[in-house]
Amino acid sequence: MIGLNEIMGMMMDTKPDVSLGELARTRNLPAVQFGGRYRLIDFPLSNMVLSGIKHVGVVIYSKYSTLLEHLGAGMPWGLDRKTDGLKLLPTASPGLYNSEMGFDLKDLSVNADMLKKARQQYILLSGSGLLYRFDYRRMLESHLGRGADFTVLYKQEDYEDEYLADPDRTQYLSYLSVGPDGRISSVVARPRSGRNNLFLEAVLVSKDLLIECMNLAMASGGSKDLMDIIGDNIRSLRVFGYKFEGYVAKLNSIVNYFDCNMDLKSESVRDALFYEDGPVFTRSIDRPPTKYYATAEVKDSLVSTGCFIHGRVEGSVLSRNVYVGKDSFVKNCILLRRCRIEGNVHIENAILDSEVVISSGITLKIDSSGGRPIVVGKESRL
Amino acid sequence: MLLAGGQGSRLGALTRDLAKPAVPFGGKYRIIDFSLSNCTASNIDTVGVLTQYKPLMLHEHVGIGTAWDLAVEGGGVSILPPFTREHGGSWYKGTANAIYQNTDFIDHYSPDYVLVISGDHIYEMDYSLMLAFHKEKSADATIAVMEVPWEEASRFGIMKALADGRITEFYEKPKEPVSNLASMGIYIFNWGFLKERLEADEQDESSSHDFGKDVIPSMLKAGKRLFAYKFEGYWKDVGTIDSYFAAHMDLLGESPVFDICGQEKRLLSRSAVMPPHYISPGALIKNSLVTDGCVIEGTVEDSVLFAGVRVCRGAVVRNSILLPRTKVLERARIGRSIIGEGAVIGSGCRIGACDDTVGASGPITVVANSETLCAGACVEPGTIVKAPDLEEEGR
Repeated sequence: MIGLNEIMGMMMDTKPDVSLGELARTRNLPAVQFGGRYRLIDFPLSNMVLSGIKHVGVVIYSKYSTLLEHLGAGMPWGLDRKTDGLKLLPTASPGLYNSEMGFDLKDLSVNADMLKKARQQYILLSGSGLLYRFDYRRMLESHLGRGADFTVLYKQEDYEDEYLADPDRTQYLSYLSVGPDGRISSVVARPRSGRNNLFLEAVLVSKDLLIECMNLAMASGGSKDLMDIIGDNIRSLRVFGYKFEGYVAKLNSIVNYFDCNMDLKSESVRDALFYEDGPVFTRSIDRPPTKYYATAEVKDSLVSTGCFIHGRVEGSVLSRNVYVGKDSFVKNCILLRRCRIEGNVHIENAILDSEVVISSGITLKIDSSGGRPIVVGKESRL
Repeated sequence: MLLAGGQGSRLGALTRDLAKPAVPFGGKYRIIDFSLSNCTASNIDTVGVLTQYKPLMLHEHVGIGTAWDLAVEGGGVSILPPFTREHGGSWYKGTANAIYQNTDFIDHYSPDYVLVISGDHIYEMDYSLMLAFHKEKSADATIAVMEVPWEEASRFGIMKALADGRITEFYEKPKEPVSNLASMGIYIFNWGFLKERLEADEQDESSSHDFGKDVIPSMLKAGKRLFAYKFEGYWKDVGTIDSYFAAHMDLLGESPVFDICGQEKRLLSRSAVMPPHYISPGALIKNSLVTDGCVIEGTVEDSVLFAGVRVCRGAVVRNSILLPRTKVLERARIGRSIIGEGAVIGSGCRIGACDDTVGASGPITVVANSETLCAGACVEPGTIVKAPDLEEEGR
């Protein structure tokens, strides 16, 4: 039986902010909103605490004010603790951060003391760009059973050529070559037509080995990230994969961001993300219930609390405190916090970032066949 | 000092497992949230919550007061159930006795003033304005009052006051009211003065140890300076099924009688951890409040839906209140009803006034918490469905 407090969680970015373009202009990736009321980091953090992890380090990159406000002392996740709990960690390169490194070991090196002092023997590193629900203890069980040095989480995905032809679908994702015994033989950036093993950006490793990797990376100038070091040493290290079977939301591009939000209109996806493996904890804003007025017409939409709906909404995802005025029509849109759609507006296939105002009478719509939504930046006024 | 021990027996089926202040209200709140949020908004940082009747849910909900920013050192929220002493102990015998039994708690903070409120009322009020009035009048006690319709006056503590607010007469639930100025059950006392009067009341064997019946009249008789602080705004004692229902309907509409949704409103509560609600392609929803975790596939009009409610395909819900996690299965019809927490309304059921599309009047139907109504069941308007009734009907 595995002890309850064996793992420390470590949240680090694995993709540059540009992967989500405008949505990550004023905030860093973990703080990007998803599914109406959540931010990306809520999913891995909730997985961690529901896996019995009580010690979580979060590396805070640039544009951090939203993330810091969201995390606070970690109360919504039960991480405001005297022992262990949530640790907000500085990055090694504030201001210059936008590298493409996955699990940059320089960021661990500036926090080496904290890492060395951690009581937990194993470290679970996770990004926040791929969302799924998982109990990391299953990874530890497999890790111990196989005598692994590293255990990495992956999912089998089948891609058609057409899907691969759009680089936005697979940008900034990594893929693994997995042998029949589950052993990983290489880490590759490019997927191919047919079956692929998508790396889910979760790595389990003993604290001691992680520190060794960190020292190695620093000795060689710090230009290698954890995945490079694993790749360089794939023959001498015992690296095993743990196959995840379930829904994964891939937030590696605007197009996928749009589609994954729309996936939430399906009950099976909502069950997979929000119910079957426990709740997703998030900071509560205490907005009142959503108010539907007599003229409201809402179909096939996910709506958060605190909205005011006078008009028509179809096939959309509404975050908290969104206003939709009379005689307006919102179709296939993602409206983030505090957006205001005034009266007599027609808007289709768009992502409106927080606090966007669309004035009366405006029509904003593009042909949906290209699959590229319009993104309207935070606090814009049209 | 927030009195939250009431059973709320007239809410019947809704208070079977919890105290009245813990009864869900307004889509995502519990009744006590209104008083607690008022405390926070009035900058009151030390609150005693007196509990007695079935307090488990209330204790869980209030916790250490985190949701109301009241988890603070040197004050914050203290839950105060009755307790025993060297020579035994007793239940809270009345509102005044409940405060008396917590004299040590209040002395511990040694305040100048004590605000006594109840966890049973729906309203928004800044108590600091009332305190300013109390100080300005150099009052011994101040009672918040409002004008009520004459025909309802005999349900309240009724008083007569001079133009400056000084109270001259007070009658608890008079058969023939002399005025329509009613007590809202909100009092501010100078603590030294109140402590004295509570000790005296405790010695009085004929007293029922209640503020309205005993303590206030005796203060008046002793010629103390009692003032009426006039409150103008929405206030409702949701102590009956009818008033509970009416208060929910007051939340709806273009310009609601009581607006809890306004942009600047922020009622604090402990929120459910649930995803946003989903409205399906075939759903129709109008003039309603809906909160997290709901899935709406049918028709919902003029209703308030709490967290995690499901309204299945073909079901029609009108003028109703669906408490948390209720399920309304296919083609069921519900009108002018309150459906209790976790209840399941079977497919094709007909509950209450379900053909009445106007639904502005008529008796309220109630299905108690956790009840399951079999497919096709028919519940006449005005019925209260709870377990014993079902057993009698042999279901």
